[in-house]
Amino acid sequence: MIDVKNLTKYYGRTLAVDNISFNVDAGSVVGFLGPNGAGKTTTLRILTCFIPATSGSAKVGGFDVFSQSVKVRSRIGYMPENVPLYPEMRVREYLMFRAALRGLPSKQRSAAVDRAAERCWLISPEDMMRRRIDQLSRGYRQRVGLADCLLHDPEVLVLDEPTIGLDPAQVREMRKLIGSLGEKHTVILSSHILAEVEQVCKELIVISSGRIVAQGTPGELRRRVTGPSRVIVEVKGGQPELMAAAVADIDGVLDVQYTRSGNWTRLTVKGGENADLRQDVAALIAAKGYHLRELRREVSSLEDFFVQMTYEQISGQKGIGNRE
Amino acid sequence: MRKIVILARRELSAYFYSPMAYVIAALFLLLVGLIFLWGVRVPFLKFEIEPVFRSGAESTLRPLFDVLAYGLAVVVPLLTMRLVSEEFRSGTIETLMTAPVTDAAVILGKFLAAMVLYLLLLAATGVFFALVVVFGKPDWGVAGMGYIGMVLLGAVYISVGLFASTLTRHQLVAGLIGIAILAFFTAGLYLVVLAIPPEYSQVVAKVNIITHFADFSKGVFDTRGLVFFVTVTAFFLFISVKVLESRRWR
Amino acid sequence: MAVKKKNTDSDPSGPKKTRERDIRSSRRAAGVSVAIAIVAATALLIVINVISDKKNYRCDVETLGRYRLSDAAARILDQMDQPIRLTSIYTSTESDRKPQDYLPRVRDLMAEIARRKDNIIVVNVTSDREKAEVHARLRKNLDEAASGHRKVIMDFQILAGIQGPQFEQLTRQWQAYSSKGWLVQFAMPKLAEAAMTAGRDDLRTTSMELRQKLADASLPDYPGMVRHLSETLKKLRDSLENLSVGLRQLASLPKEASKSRPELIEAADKVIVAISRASEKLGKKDTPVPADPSAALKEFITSVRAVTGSAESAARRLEKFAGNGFAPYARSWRTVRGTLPDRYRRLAYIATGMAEQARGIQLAAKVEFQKKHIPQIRDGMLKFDAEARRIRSAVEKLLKDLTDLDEPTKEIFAQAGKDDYLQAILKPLNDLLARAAGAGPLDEQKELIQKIKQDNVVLVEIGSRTGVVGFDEVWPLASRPEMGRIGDKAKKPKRVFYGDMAICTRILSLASDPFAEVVLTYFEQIPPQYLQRRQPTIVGSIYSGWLQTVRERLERANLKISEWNIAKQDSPPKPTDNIRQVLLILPPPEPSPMPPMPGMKIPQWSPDEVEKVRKVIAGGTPAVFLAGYVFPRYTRGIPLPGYYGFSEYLRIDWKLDVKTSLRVIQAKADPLNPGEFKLPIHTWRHMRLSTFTDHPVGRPLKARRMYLFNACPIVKASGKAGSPTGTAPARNEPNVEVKDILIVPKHRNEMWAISDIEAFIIKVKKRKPLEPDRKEIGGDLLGPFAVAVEASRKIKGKQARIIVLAAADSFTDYYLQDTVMLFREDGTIDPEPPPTGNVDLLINSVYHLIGKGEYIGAGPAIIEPVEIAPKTMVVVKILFGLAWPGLMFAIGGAVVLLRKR
Repeated sequence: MIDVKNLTKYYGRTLAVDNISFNVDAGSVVGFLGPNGAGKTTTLRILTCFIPATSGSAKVGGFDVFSQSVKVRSRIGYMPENVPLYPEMRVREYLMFRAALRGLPSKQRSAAVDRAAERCWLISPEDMMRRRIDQLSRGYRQRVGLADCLLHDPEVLVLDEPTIGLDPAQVREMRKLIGSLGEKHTVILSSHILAEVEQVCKELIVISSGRIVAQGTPGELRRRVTGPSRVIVEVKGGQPELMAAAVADIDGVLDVQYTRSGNWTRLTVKGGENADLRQDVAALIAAKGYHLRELRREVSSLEDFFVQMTYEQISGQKGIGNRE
Repeated sequence: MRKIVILARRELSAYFYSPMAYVIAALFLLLVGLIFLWGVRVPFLKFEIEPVFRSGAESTLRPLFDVLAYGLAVVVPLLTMRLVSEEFRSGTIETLMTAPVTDAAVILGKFLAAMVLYLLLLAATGVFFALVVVFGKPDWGVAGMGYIGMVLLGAVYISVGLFASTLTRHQLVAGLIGIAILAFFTAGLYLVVLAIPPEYSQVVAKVNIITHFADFSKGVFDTRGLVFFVTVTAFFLFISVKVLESRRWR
Repeated sequence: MAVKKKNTDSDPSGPKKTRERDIRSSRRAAGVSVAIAIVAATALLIVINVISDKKNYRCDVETLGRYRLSDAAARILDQMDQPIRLTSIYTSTESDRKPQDYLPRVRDLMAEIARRKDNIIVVNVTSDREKAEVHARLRKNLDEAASGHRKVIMDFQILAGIQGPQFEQLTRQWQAYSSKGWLVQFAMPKLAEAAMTAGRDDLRTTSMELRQKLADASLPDYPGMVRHLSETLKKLRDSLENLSVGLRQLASLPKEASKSRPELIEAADKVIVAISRASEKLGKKDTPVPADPSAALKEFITSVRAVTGSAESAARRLEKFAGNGFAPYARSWRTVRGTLPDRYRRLAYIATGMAEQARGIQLAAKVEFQKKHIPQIRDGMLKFDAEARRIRSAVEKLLKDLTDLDEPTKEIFAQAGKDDYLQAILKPLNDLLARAAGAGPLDEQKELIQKIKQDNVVLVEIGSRTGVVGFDEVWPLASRPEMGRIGDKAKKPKRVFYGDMAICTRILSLASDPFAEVVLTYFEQIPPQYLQRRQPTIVGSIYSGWLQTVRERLERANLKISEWNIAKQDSPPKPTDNIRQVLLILPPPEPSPMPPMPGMKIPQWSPDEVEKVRKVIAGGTPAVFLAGYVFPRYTRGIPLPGYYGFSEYLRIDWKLDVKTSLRVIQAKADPLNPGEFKLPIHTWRHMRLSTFTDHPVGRPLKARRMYLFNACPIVKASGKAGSPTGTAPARNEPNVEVKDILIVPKHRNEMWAISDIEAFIIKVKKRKPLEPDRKEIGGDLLGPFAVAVEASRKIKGKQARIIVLAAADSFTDYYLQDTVMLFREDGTIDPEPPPTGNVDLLINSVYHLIGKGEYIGAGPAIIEPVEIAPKTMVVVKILFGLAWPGLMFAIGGAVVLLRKR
């Protein structure tokens, strides 16, 4: 559905997107992941024909974003990062306008607006559609933006940071919605927060400093995560130093750090790769007679990977990616 | 074409749903009424406009139009300043330009909206013409040509104001640029004409918007004026489109 | 439209096949392509506008037709078949003749004229360079037309070159003349020297001035230059001829002196003898007085009278000798005690006195007293004798001086006596003078030469004839608004466009034969100068020579001018080429009550003369009468009403009562005292009046600036006498039709015709409030009344028509060439150009009378004014000035409030 080849974008002399290529199949939900200023928005803007690329090509649904811009635009629903809306309009007016602008025949417009509104939970409270946009909360604005994208039932949805600024409940709803959209549409969404992408997307593209640093399903990416295992223990009953030293003596433990929290001491125990030290630690605590409050093992997450990847990118390629 | 109308409708609703259009309309009518009924007199500047409508004066709107030709150079950019710059400022340009509409359609839609608003303002001066009809015996040819001239003049002013609006994201700056351009092509060129020798001043006078408007306001139809107004409007709309497009490669 | 096509070419979102291109160059390419698109669009914008500027269509939508060719102008153009060249020269930089305002108008008009006819070429000139080119071309034409003048001027320059040295030489000759020479006694050498020097200088300066004028870039005034050089030549000729004649007369003087010598000496001796005889009668000094003093005195008186006679005869002799000759200029003619004849006359006078005195003594006094006086008389006689002898020797000296010729003088006389003396100089000079006189006034070029110097003119060239139309003809000053506020001193007077008629009538007059002949009709007797003591000069209130402006304008309106002096001819001159004639009749002179010398026959205005005019008009020749207010004539302090020679005729034949004894005045309502008026002082001389009726003569002038002077009212004469305004009875002429042209309407209550001018002036001088004298009889005449009318009637089947313009003084040169001074209320003076628009009233009248009414210019149109009562105005102001914008505001507020929810 989306075919990007060697896409490069300079803003003046600043390189924003550096020769990226990727493919998105129809019906998939793709997460575009990267820290702020990595080039996510730029890439999405190029895909939605808002700005042209400096070089390289991009096709959406087989149409070139440069030469067949109008065709591409009519196949895309795009929700920009901050969801810009006309403040003085009412929700329904706005959606009707957008529907007309997208070329929907006037007879179908009302139905399309109702449908999109329903999908985006804009029907409750009842007067929501009659409210002025500048009186809406952030979450509702986001929904209006999303409804706007869905009006013409586009093949491709491009959502730039769809969950930013939403409260947790709203985030969850949005996730659900996007998940459901994936059934009918091809969705590209961007985020700098791994968690939401991880849950919704079938595929992730990690971008940093304008380059793709990793690509694949969340599972694939997780598998690539390497790193020491950790056990977190919260204990009470002895001098922290002594307790730490005792734990450190366990076989296979590489490093122990401790922090205090009230009477409790929190120990972070690092072990070798893929080692599970929980049993040994529990045994030691029992033996020493300490009070145990928590004991859990932490595996390296996608988050770590994300940080790791992007950190490497930044430290490795200073001078290019970090300026934006 | 349909999209132009759709865009124009939205733009008009923006005008009418915000207080600005009404404030400008009220101020415009106050200005017109002042010139028409009271006249303007600033003694220390030796500036004086006699009331257009007074006992013993010619029954015509012509002096009013002649003054308005200058006054609108200030009023029209105020109307048009927000058209594009506001889209840039609020970011709605992004949703607008990623919808399947061309840049030209956007510019034309906005032009059309401003034009409709302008025509409504002009129609509001109809009551003053009605006064002239009731209390005098106006020359319909002059009045008709005067209104046609005002419409064409408005088209030029709006296209210039629209162009100014595409240049910056700050409304006020856009307004000032528009006023500056229009002031130059009206009063500014007039001063230039006074300062230079006649063989050049002839050419310069032809670039002056007022020169062409004067024909219309006195009741003379001249293709020169029509062509001038239409081509200048088209030109400014064209370069507005170019400026709007330029964000793609800048 | 074409502009939009560029759009796709430069659209950066267009195909981008060359993605591998260097980033910067692709950006530059995009920028360049947009730049090219904008440049192309700009070029297209300019090209389209330039083309549309060249090939424009223009039409005047406005119903009054102020911006299109007037019907009359179109009619004139339509009948022109010969090639015409129009050149507008507009190079003015004056602020009130702004090219940016006025020039486009001229150009539009020229374009419209050119569109109307193919045979008209229009050239617009705005730069000084082009102007110079046109001038050069015109000068070439002018040089051809004035070839005679130029030859004269060139010859004069040559002459000056040759004669300068000749005069120089003459000067030197006279300088060399001995200071003891014979001619010195007449101061002749000095005078001659001065005359020759002056002649040389005159030649030199005139020659230089002419050379300068020829070098001037603009068109030289050849006739003026010829006039100038002629004057110089005349002066030279006169001084040379005086010299030659003088010398000839002087040459004969010695002979005459020696011839008259015996006679003169004899006369002188006779005086002496007569004196000694008289002295003898009373005896010698210191001898006893005669015994009978009375008898002695009686004898003495007789002989003293003889002395008077002889002295007078001597004086006469001397005077006769002097005659017309030069003797009186001789130094010895004038002695310390006066000239010689004067001295003899004094002698004679004193002698008479003595005789009278002696007679008185002899008759009245006692003998002792007489005796006592005789010695005194003796003493007087001695002085008398001495004086007589002194005069005699003076006479002798004179005769000696006059006869005593020296050799060089003789030589000079010998030369001067020859026929060809100074002829070498005089002959070419006289020849040139004759040719200069024959060079003519170059009438056709006069206007060109005079007007071409202006900044803004339109040249009309048809064949070899050239006419010039000046800025003030194309844009005469408008009539100021009659209502509303007058007197904004900051405002320049508005100009109205009259260009189409100004230019087209010029074309007409250059291209076609005159429409008609205007016969200037007057009654004048102006004797030649030498007869002026013996014959009276008889001229009406307007001398026919004061109508130069009118004549010129009439000629330019394609009319011919001829003259009919009723005092000399009984009927108007035969029309040339059988064209129609129109009489333009000036006010005739008032017959004087008695001839200057008893029994002398002088021409007088009389009913006979009226009869001559009546016959011509009855014959179908239309006439324009110029009448006007006539100042009362005072006889022993009693004013007699102003005389107008045609008043009887106009009243009886035409039912028109021209009230020349009433003067129309234009006062100003006093805003503080309703019903009272003040007189703005300038309205006395410049009364603004353009309240024309819809009569074809006046209608086009409604918006023209008209100033009238000494206007008088015209009312329709009624059948009965003693009507309120004093209308005299008229003959019952039922078929007279009178139409007003210019009127003082009833509502103009600040204008009326005053009857008692003296009382009025006193009132004005004392700054008393003015109001019309509403007396039934002898009071003032209030509006409505006419100032110009047309009257027509059938006389023996022929239609006779006249127009009376009752403001004759408004058409004279001194009025039409005089700056109008308008006194403002704040005491400032506002000068305006002369009211030349007045002549249009005359021209229109003539056109109307000869049936060429279609050529009367449409004139600037008048726009109906707004009429609104002050109270209504207040309502209108509140409703439309405040409530209407307020409504907008309210609607806005409501909408915003509604949208809030």
